[in-house]
Amino acid sequence: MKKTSLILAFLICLVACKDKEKENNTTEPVSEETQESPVVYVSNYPLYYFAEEIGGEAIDLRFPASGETDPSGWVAGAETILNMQQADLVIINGATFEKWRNNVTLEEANILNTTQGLDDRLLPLGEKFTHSHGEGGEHTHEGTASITWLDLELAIAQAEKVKNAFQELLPGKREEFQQNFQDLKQSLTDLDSNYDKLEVDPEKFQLIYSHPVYQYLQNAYSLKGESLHWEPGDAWNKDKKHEIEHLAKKGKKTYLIWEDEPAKETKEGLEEMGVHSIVVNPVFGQPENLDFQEVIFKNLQNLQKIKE
Amino acid sequence: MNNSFYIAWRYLQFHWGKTLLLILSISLVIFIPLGLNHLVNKGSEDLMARAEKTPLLVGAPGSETELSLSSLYFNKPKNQPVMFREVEKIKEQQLGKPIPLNIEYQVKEQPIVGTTPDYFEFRDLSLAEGRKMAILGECVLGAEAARKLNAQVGSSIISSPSGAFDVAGSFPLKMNIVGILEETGTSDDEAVFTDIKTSWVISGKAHGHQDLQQVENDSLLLAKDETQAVASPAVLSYTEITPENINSFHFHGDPGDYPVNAIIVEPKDRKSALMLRGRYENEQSSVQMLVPEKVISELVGTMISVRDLLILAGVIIGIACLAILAFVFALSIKLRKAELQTMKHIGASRNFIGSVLGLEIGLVLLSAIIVSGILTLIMGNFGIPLIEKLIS
Repeated sequence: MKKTSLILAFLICLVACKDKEKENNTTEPVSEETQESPVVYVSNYPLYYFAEEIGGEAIDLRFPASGETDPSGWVAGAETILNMQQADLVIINGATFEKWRNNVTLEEANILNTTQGLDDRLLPLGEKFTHSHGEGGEHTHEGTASITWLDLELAIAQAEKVKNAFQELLPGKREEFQQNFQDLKQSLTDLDSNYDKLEVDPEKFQLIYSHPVYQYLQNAYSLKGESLHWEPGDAWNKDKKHEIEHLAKKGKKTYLIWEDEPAKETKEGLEEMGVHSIVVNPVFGQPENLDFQEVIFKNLQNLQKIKE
Repeated sequence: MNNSFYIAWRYLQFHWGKTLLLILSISLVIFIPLGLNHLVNKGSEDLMARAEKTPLLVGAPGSETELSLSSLYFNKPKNQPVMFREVEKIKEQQLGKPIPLNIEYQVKEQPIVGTTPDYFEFRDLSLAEGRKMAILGECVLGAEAARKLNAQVGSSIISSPSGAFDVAGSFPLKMNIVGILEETGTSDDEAVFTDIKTSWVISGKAHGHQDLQQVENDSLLLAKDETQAVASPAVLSYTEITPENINSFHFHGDPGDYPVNAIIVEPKDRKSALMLRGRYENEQSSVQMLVPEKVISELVGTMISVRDLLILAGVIIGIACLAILAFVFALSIKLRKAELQTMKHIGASRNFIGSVLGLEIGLVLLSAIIVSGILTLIMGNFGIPLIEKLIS
């Protein structure tokens, strides 16, 4: 009986030790990871791309609005915000991009606004919206244009802020982040100089934008044009035809810039009116199968068609 | 000794009304200076403890005492609010952490404290259940507030109008309770904590409503084109923040102009505190920076002076009362002459009679001391909250 008890006790000890060993093996890498990888949240895809390119695997990068077509209209969940409160850094675009920012409780100290200090380079939305209701009287909603990364010089400035923040978070990886940023800066600068070479003569070509989201693109690369409020999925109808008739100027080749491929019927209707459709993806959300630079390059290729 | 104690006890028992009156009178004479001293000392300690834990306070010029008490005890502020840009200004100086407080509104009798998550850390408040606020329209209750409002995590509460004539001035906002704090024994227990932005929604500075560019109902719009929509007063603001309407909430004007009743400043160190105080003193702007410890210590000083005067009065009254008591006892012995004579006739010695009378007085005095001790204890436990309630 005594012998059996001893064997049983030995077996229990053995199992307990193995379990403990197993537990140690599973917890170790986690603690190592939490020690080495600061948790960083980003609010849109371009920032996610910059952070990933600069931080690499040294940063535990999270993009909660990745599933959204337009992350600016993301509705924040309480659990995500609680996690963001615990994060080492929350990188935002600023320039009124994050419409959810006023609706959540976040510590300002942990927020990096990548357009802060670039106020003189920010552009107005170009639209004032005045309304009155209740007893409050009339008031105006006048916004700042927020798709800043379409001006690649601004995109570089934003990426630099990301780099600086990462260097502060992990001083040991200073050189690595600097090198990664330099590589990114170089490719964005190359793209920027190619955009600069776009010579769209306003005397010969007329540009119309399907949505007022291209302010920075228009301003940086002299691609001025009027904006509509059309969705790529919208059906072609009389009103749209009338709008184009009203906008299109005689003697100029007209291009309509879309956020995404328009409906076939709309594209054909426009072609019949002599208006050519071009897609310039503003990179709101995470693109499928392509990265930020690839989308920007594709946009460039599409814009180059204007000269053809 | 046993016999004289028995006779003295039986005498007091027989004349219970007279005995009770004597005990009560003597205990009150002892209790008034003793209780007052205890109360003021305990009250001063509590007041000073909260003030000492609040290094610096920024608010509009006016009564320093009002500003300190409203910020520490969340009673309705009488000083004008300052602008939120003051918070940004302090932050930019990088000498300390500013924690804004908006204490204009209430849920029934409980104050709504619009602040930032830093306040919880600053006061070392921990959650008994639930979580901290994360989304606009969420709130966390102090332990006492939860009890008084009979509220649980998951339920909701509605803010009250700021005054009887403010029916349309502030928005009755339905707030979701996401957490309840551990009891601290301070005024934090009484508060309803929410994000400062939520307090601005209550004040009407921020609001949400139907997208006027999408409104089809002509009765809601007086005029509309691509850049302008003039809506009729029938378009009302939402009174509850839900995932469906949260993105329609927006702020009008510069948030830097929004009101903040007080700003607690947690300086980095002693030097930073001195630098901040110096800057505010030199500026002589529309805001003041004060040290609550100093203000409350002046208030406590006044309380102690009043206490000393009252104790002195109590002691004088006590001496007079004791003289009257001595006279009452002497008269009582005279009135009991026949009774004492009878005791002598049945064989009681002079010493025995003396010990009976002495024990009677001793028992009355002892009972009075015990009663006054109990009263002081009761005052110690329930008197401070009562005083805090009176202050707020």
